[in-house]
Amino acid sequence: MSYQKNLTNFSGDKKAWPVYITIGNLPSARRNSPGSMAVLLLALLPIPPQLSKSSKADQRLRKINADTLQDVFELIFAPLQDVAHTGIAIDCANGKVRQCFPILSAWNPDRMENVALHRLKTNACPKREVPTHELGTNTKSHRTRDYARYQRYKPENQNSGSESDDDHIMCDNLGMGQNIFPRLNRVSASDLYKPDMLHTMYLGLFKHMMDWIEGFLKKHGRLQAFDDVWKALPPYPRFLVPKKAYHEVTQWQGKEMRNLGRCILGVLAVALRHPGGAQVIPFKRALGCVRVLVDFNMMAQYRSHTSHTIAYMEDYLDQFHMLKDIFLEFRVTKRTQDKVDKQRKEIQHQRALVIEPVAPSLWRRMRDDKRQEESDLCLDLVRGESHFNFIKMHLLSHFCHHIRQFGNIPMYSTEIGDLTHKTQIKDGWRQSNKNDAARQIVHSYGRQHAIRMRLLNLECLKCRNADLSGDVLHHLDRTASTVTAAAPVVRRRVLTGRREDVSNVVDFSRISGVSPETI
Amino acid sequence: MPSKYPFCRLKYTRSGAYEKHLRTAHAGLDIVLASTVQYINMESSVSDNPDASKRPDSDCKSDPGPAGLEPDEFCRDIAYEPDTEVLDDATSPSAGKQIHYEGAGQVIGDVDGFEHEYSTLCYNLWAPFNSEQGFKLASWFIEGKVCKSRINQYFSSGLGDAESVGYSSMHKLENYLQLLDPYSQYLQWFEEQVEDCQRTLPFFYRNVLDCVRYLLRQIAYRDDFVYVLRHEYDSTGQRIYAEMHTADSWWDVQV
Repeated sequence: MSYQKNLTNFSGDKKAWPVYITIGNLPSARRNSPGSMAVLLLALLPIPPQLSKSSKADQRLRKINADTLQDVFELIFAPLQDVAHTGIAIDCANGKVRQCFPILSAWNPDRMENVALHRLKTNACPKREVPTHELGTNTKSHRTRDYARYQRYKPENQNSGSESDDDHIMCDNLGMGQNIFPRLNRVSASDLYKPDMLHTMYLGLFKHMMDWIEGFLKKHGRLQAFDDVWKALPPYPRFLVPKKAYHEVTQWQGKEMRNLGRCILGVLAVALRHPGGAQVIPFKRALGCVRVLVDFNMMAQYRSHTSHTIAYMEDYLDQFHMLKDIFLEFRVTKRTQDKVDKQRKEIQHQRALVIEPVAPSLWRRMRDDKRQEESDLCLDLVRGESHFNFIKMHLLSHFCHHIRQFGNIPMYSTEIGDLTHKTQIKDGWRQSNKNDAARQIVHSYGRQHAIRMRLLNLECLKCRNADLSGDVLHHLDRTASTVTAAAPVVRRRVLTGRREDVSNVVDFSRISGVSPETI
Repeated sequence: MPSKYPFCRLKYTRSGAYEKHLRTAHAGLDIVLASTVQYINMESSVSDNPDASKRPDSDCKSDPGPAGLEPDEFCRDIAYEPDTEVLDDATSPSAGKQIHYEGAGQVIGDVDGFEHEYSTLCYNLWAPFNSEQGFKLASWFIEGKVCKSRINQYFSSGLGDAESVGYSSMHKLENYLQLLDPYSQYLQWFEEQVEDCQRTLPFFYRNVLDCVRYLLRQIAYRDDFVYVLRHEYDSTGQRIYAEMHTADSWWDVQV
């Protein structure tokens, strides 16, 4: 069984907090397809008010809110508490009764909700106790989070000087968490977290990687070449041709990022062709790093794995951690930038104090040397200060273990939850009169659900050649064609007209130097 | 090159047109592709060995990775044997042997009145609506998001034939819709209130267990349900990790 939960915005300050439920007995392809209706809305939760961080009274309120939320979860999941051990007889679709042990096995919120619910620190891994400064390494040696232990330390927190002080301090550094389902049997809080392709890879590391690549290209003066190739990409089945340069796009969707993963390596390889003398090695390293990350992403998308493919993933991840240092200088924070500026000013100030008489013939060479020295110093500082210790970097290291434990990765992606929002929540919100909307959302989707479920069941009967009359079959055929086949065809027709207009523009700016062979 | 279209010169801006072109002009494309891949691979394997240092990932010479895991080699394997089990659907019957967990998914009885329910659905497809037209009209109203007052207007202005569809107002239609789902009692909503420090907030929830019952009861999924967990192996004897029931955690929680 798996649950999904997201916070969604309607308009302005209007929010809903739905929790969805589905069962793991259905294969993931069936379960996650939007037409199969296998994801049910379990609850619409109350939304705690936003509180400011500063005042003490607000902090107390926040604590109360979190406790209330926990009570709400306990109320919702109370039916599952005992049946995990004792089991329960459930009627199945083929007319048989089976003894079932429903167990909560996944909880897929997005990152910040996980942090808020488990009361973790923003930079803390929900699975393992990894210190912040090791997030950027491919470490696997840290112990798994034991939420029960944190619970034990909680009362000791108040009376200082307890016997296990060292351990406690260490826990505090790593960020203590709280199990939101302490009463559920056979559920381990650290295992509830599942890797999320959408936020970790597409909107996470791919986005970071593009930032680094942009910095890298700018440094080596290849940004223009990159943009030209980017815009001149030829069409290919199921590949969306980008119409704007990368930096012109303000917001990226998961689908577009997945698309980017397909073409980025080729585009970068073309943009970095014919390197100058000193550029050969950095170009090679940058390409290698991007290639390994793209490969890792590709393997993570597999729907089925063997130990062979998992070994590949581990290998790619190791290589990525080895090669990523080429992009280190582009992970500059504001603080580092300030330090660099300060250092540069100091150097210039010192130089102004020491005035040496220099022959005019040597003056130019001296100036170049000084500039070189200055930039080297700055680069050293930047390299020393910057790091890769952010949480998404660390989450990659859980992928391989996860596959062995819980199966393929794409089936746990939060994209499915986001898709369900549209039909189950947002449409209902639009239909409502915005007054006591939650009730109306719940009811309006209930009506649709009843009708669609009946149609699905009839469809299934049709497939099994049950005794259905002629007009029923006719109706089913027609509904099936309107639902599945007809809609895309119409959409495609509309698009053709527009796309052709645009293609002229693209052709106009297409550069002639790039032939398919060079890619 | 065995084909006369090794690289097609035609350009297409639309993927649909390109796909059609591939289907019509390059009907034997599979063969062409396979041969070009072989050709390219032969080339690369020849050029790789003498100057391996020129490849982009050659910087990590210090740690070449596990032996036999060279990425190029893997690609080549796939290209030569497109039917390797790695890419196959794990659930296909040809995917090698399977080990089932003994005793899982055992049937402990029959559902009371299942045959009756099933036959009612088969012979009275549109129940509780009295005709197909009634169901279709209701489905059109709901899927088209027609609002309540409009539906009432539709009947009051005499546009609809209330007798043939069996209902004449939104109120009656809603009653029918509640009866439409035989298991709708599983999906009942409960309402509770939360006393926040400043205000009271209502929230809605369903019974978790009943949701599970509801999903397990749907005839639509009956052919897809997996009741027995299993280990799947491909033809070379390697374990396949695909769905949840093939992975370790489900085996670990068994009692």
